[in-house]
Amino acid sequence: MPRKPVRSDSSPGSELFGTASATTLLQILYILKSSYAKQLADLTGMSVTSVRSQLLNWEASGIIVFQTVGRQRMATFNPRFFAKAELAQLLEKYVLQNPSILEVAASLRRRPRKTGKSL
Amino acid sequence: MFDQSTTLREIAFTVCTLFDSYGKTIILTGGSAATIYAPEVYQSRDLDFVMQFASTDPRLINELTNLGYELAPGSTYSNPNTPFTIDFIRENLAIGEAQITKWATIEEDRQKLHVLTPEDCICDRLASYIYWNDLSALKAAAAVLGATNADIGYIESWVANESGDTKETLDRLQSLAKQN
Repeated sequence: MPRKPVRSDSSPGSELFGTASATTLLQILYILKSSYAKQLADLTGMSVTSVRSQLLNWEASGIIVFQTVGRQRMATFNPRFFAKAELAQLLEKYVLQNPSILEVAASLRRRPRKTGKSL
Repeated sequence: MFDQSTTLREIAFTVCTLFDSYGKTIILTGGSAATIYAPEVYQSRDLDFVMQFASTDPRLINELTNLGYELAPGSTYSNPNTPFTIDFIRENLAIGEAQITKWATIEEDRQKLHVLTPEDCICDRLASYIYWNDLSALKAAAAVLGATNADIGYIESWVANESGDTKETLDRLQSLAKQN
């Protein structure tokens, strides 16, 4: 079934991280804990180029870091970011305010699947 | 015989009743248990039965074959007439650290189904969420919570034993349950 991208929120505070799309993107990354540009683009409906550009901005600001896993560049929150806990608290409030973000992230299966079972 | 229109629920009742008639108790767990409680919101395609006896009786394998199920690689039973696969898991019934000794038995149309209670079904899905950050499992847990009168205190106590972040898990669970 095609994944339905999250609709960018237009509620108060939705542009806190620059634009509504950027705010949504940061919430999705926060929920997933780690992800890569293509996956984030699929979930948010943004272009891969826009996602990459936004992630690079946050990397430059020290909010996220990249780790290479196999051939993927995985973005994760920087554990050394000085306000990591406060940022997480704020993002958690945003997520609870807009649980459709959780619904969209729920389209990804992350738990293991026994060998031989179809996907 | 099953066909494309047969539901997961119908297969679960048939297979469980069949085993029961041979004196063997099997308990439906995992996402399929969530589908029993919240079919409108969560659809699984695998029936995972926990069996607490040593091996499958050859008579039961024959019965499964009569239903159209064949053992596929990986000890999963599949049936060309239906997308629903069946797994029999030989282990103690447990969710994380908690051993489960009680389950629900639903009876309808002279058939019966042993299945995790709604509370344990929610905890079972939350285990996948907590261990692997699997949001689809959180969604299934929320669907069961929204569809049943599950005791949130029981769930809270299980989460507190398993996870460092009880508040975040429960807030997200309840927020999604309200959404359904």
